Amino acid sequence: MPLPALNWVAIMDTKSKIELGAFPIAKIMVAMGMLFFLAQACQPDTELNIQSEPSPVLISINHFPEMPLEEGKELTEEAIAAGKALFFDPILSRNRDLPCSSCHLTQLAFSDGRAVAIGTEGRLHNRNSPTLFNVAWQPYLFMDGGNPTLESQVIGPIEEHREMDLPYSEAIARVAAVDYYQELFQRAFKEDVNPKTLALALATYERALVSFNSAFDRYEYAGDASALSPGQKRGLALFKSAELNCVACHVLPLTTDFSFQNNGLYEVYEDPGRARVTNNIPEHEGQFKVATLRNIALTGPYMHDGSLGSLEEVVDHYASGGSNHRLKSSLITGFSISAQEKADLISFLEALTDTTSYKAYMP
Amino acid sequence: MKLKYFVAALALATFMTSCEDDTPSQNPSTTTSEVPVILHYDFKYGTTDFALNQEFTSDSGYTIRYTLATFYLAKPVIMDDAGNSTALDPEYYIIRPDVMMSNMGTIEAGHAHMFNLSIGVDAETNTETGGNGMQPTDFSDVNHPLAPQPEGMYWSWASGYIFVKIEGEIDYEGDGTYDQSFKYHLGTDPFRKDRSTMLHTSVEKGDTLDITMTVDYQQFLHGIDLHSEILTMSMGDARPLAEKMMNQFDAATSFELGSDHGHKK
Repeated sequence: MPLPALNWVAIMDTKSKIELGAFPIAKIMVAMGMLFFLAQACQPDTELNIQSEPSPVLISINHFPEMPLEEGKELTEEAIAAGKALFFDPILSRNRDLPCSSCHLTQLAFSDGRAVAIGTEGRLHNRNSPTLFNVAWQPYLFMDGGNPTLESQVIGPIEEHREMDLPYSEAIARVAAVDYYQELFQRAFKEDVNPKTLALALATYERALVSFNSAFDRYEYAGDASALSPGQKRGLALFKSAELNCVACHVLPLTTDFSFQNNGLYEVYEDPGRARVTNNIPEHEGQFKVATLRNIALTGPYMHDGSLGSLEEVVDHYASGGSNHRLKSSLITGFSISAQEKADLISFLEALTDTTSYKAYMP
Repeated sequence: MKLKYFVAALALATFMTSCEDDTPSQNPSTTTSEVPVILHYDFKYGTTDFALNQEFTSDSGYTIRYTLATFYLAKPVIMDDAGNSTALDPEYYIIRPDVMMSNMGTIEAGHAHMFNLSIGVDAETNTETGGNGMQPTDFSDVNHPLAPQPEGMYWSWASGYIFVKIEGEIDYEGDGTYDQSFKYHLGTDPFRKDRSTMLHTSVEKGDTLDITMTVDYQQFLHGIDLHSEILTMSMGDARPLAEKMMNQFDAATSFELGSDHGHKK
């Protein structure tokens, strides 16, 4: 079985002076295509050579904060390849029918288009599948922040009864029994498949899922005044305005401050949110991590439970000021917005879509 | 003359070899002044030996069987009467009903005053609410007690180890059909139980310090309503039940010096 191709290319290297502002999109695509070609051409021989060192990968995006990376979790081509192979392989689900990609579809910016996730044997989750783009910058995982690292969260969807429903120890045994994976892991980590390396492989692939090249990015950070339409520019102004104050939580450029907020979706929350993981601290009831808005047009339905089906409904929710929940964020106060302004705002949100990124990650 | 040299060399070699026997070994397990510590396990259901999937009768007269009964022990320590403590090694143990004993390393011969350990995983290692600590994905060695376990002894959604995981089934009518399951997944830092046992014994070269941990799984369910108090994951509205069941487990557990296996000091 041949080793997988490294068909991910979204690399911006400041050292090589690739400035987003200096490259119109066509040139970026050409550059990415060349990188893609080189990545393919530079594939290691299929003959296992564990003496060679993994090839480091630097993801440095000029207008993003530096990617937080702990020692020992550096990105390498080999680790990304191992993680990618696992991500699209149903081997990690009890019935060998659901890969990670069944709830995180590349063409939907690694969400799934459903209100809530559907796991093995059709079991319904109670939460919406989030995008995985830019998870490398998340200081904690899951909507309630209950998990501290991308590595340790790997256990969650694999073991969760409503997702893949496979004991992690069994997942390790399954993957370790496949020579192909042992080869990949030896290349990537110089170790066998084990609890640490399996998690590290998936986490490394997920860290490499970056999205930074939307029309908004080109307008805001690359000086391309034509990247946004007049309506989108008006929408951006509304987004930043004191009255709507979206940027209070959806802080640029990542479009989230990762805080936990009760956004007044309900008066009574069936899902306690962050309170679930903080031993029922009452103040945490109904709090969920502020979601990224990048690729938001692709990642509906919206909210933690997918209860709002469209961006129009989302804007209506915030314009209304939400419910009267006693712990609702003080930032959710409502605002008046005309039909034109609403259309402009949604048009701006659509300009946060980065098709160049997700296409790079197609299997 | 040559024979004299040969005899002298032989005598010297014999002398040196005999001296080697008295040289302290670099291996702690063979150091003469060190005493092995062994924790024995005695799992009971009342007066009956306990085993998974074996039928027992509850206090209410229901037929029950346990399908899972796994727990963590952490950081055992022996203290002498001067208050000096010796941390035993290894630090973590995962205990199932088929485990007979745990070798807990050695202590220096002398007076063993107190035996301390935790039921559960210490707060420094147990990760909660997104904090730092250890997770099963930190371990390359699948045999480490804190590595992923077949019964799933870790909550990834709240990132913490499950200290005690007990599951079983209840046959209310006694008709041979199990009507209800019970699941007690007990953990989070406030629910860990730190135990101290007075030993007050002296151990000498050649001894073994034997301690026995007894868990009575009938006592564990004593006073529990097997209709309404049957499920907790230590979260949400079922958190009070988790606290209660952890107290039940604590009460069902005892430690004493000695063992039933003939090693009693």
